[in-house]
Amino acid sequence: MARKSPFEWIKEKLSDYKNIESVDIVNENLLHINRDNETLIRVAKTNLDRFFYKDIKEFLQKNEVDFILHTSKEPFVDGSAYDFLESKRKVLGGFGDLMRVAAQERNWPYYPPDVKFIRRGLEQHTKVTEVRRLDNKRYEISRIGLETVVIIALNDYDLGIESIRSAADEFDAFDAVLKSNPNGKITASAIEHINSRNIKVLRWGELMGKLNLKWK
Amino acid sequence: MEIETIIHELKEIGTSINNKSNTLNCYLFGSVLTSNYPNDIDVLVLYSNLKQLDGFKEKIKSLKKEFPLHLNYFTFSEEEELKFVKNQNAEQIF
Repeated sequence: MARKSPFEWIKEKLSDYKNIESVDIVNENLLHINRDNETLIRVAKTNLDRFFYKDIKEFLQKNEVDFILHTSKEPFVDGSAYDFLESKRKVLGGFGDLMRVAAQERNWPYYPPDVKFIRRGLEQHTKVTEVRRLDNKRYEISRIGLETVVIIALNDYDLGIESIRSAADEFDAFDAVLKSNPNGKITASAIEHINSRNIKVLRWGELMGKLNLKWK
Repeated sequence: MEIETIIHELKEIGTSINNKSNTLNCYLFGSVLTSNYPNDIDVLVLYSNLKQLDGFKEKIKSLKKEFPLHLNYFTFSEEEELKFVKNQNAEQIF
């Protein structure tokens, strides 16, 4: 069976969007999305599942685009890649991110809803002096007169033991797991596993409170 | 989206890893079952054996490159605690 390309899929999906004038598949690696406000989103795709500064730099040298679509659902993105994207006013994201950018009036800035929420919330905390995005899941939080802490944000609806295990395998050290999805549960075995690793699992409100205090 | 293709590929993976006993189960849930244009494909995997789970993860790598699969893994005891299948109206694939 012939498989529909990601661009064909996006084109179909965007046909429902009222602010989209047209979607043109220019070639197999370039998509043009024209909004009715006469702004254009140039999109190229990649199946890389790990992104560092040099990957983004090389990709943007070869592709003059506004949005880099990763077809891998949840790739690893290093903080250096985010810094470079920010400096170039480009966006790296998945299908959902592209749909949200298309619905915006402009291509940039764009941050995924959970990232926007976490960054804004942390930056507004009275004890926090700086928030640095270390990669696609971890944030380094510097605090006034208190230790710097690293959290990993897991957006699972229900948080199970395998999500914790995978996060620990894939990412460098962290001091706490933030269950960034406000809904759902944390399973008993996930809590037991986290406790055995001497780290914490916190919901948003708990993290806000904990940031006022000495960590250990 | 070619949901039939995804189901077919998942079943193939199921056949290759559940050769003796069905100790790993796979379900679809969420917008892939209700929308013509879902942003991603939610997959639930229930397991009891970590080695078998690793085998599943290895085999699903190529499918993950083609489709935006969002994989959720729980042990059978976690599923009993969460009632995830019932709450999400998940449909069993294998």
